[in-house]
Formats: sequence, C-alpha cells, structure tokens
Amino acid sequence: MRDALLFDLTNTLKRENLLLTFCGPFSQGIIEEIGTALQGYLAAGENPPSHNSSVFSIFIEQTQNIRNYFRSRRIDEFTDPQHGYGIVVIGNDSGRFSISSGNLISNDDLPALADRIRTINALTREELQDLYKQTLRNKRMNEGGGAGLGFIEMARRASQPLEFATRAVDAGHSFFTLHVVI
Amino acid sequence: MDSLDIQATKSSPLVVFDPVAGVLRIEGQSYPENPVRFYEPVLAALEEWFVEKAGCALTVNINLSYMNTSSSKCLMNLLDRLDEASRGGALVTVNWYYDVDNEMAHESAEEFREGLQVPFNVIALES
Repeated sequence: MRDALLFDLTNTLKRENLLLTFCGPFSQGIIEEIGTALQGYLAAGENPPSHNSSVFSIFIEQTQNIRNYFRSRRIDEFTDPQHGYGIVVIGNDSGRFSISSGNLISNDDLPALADRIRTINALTREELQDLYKQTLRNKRMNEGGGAGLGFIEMARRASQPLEFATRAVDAGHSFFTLHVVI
Repeated sequence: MDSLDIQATKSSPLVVFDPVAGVLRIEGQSYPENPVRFYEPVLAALEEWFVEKAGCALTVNINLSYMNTSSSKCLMNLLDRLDEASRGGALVTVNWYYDVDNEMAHESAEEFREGLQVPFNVIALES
C-alpha cells in the first residue's frame, strides 16, 4: 500500500499551499491541459484579469521554456524520461500566486542561463520594458523556437526578482529550478 | 486567390481571411507549439494579396485574449509587414481589440502600436 506516501504527499502539498503539481514529460498537450485547468481556476477566483493573465503567462513561459530547451538539445521527453522530465508547481498562498519549475539541464548550458537571469533581475522596470520592446522587434528566433522574451516577460509580471537555484545530479547535469512570485 | 479558414484550438486562434472582402480576423488564444509555422500561411496569404489586390482596402481585426512571447514576436512580424505595405501606399487598417478590465492587455496593445505608421485602432471590449 502507498497510504503513507499519499498521506505525506498530501500534507506536503497542503502545507506548501500548492494547488497544482505536475511531474513528467512536458508535451504541448500536457501544457495545454494544465493551462486550461489553471485558467478555469483563476477565472473562478477574486483576482483581477491582469493578475490572472500574469499567472497564466508565467506558467506558459516556464513550461514552454523547458519544452523548448529539450527540443533544442534533441531530448525526447517520452523516449528519454531520464533526461526529459520536468516539474511544475503552482502555489496559491492566500491569493499570492507563484509558479515554480524544475528540470534537468546540461552543465554546459548553466553559465549562460544564470547570466541571463541575473542580467534581467538587475534591470529596473523601465529598462525591462525597453528591453522587451526592443526584443519584440528583433526578428530572430532562438534555436529552440523561443523569442528570447520569456524571462523578460516573467520578470515584468513578477512582484519579486526571479529566483533560481541549481544542484548537481551527475557529472554532466544539474537540476535547475526557477521560482516566480506574481 | 485562396481564403484562409483555420479553426481555433486550445492553444491557437481562429484565423479567417476573406480576400474578396479584404478582411483578416485573428481571434482567441495563441500559444501553439510552433508559432512561426502557425503564422506562416497567414503571412503568405497577405503577400499574395498585396500583389493581386494592390489598391484594395484591407482590414485586420486582432482579438487575442492571450498570446505567449513567441506568438507576440510572430504578430509583431505580421504588423511590421502590414506597416511596410501601408507605407508603400496600401490601404491597410489594423483594429486591435482588448479586454477593458485587463490593463496589461492595453499596455501590450500600445507596445505593438509604437513606432508603426499603419492606421492602428486600439479598441476596448466590454466584458
């Protein structure tokens, strides 16, 4: 029986105010299903539309970032679940929403990613807006199909700096986590 | 020339292009897996239209309740193309609809409009 595991998991999710948790392969279909559930949940709540669109936007950017990363590195989530998995948790702490996600990343890709987030965190609100508009008008797409706007979009919709952390998993990989509070 | 009639899905908008009336509609949510591929036929249809229907009026109605950042870039690209055509003398009008209760949607509309010369109406929709 798994009663102890389920009891502990339930207590952890409740204690951390996590309303939605998914761990596994991030396919577009799964992102859409969770996204639709999240939109329904948000629409039934008391928060204004601009807040709800920020929560949804940060959810989509994080999960599609992970998906695009795997695609750019040619990791198939379904045939290579050892590398191609991710986790996303949506928290609702008395109306204060947060989106956190984690995924495995090659150590070679870590420095550029950390630099990117640190650079964006150092910008003022006006600088973020300017960088967003400038990047929006730059026609180039990234190798994973992203627009280079995801972290900027998250930062300008967040109420706190983007938090990230990494921990070593094996010689070549780390587990990367991102926590964004709306 | 061909019309476009792409049905909406959870992550992609309705796209209807009527080349005879000169009306393009994009409505819904936009966060498809590959936005570049999704918007390619729209850009292609416009290119063909500008050649075959030079001198005719074109109205583009955009009503997107949500778009991810990759879609935003594709939309910007499309608006740039409309702007270029407009500067070249084409009779293009863009109507951009947004939810009046969502102040970020209004800001976003203004971000798209900035720097463009094509007639661009930002229209509030009452919910």
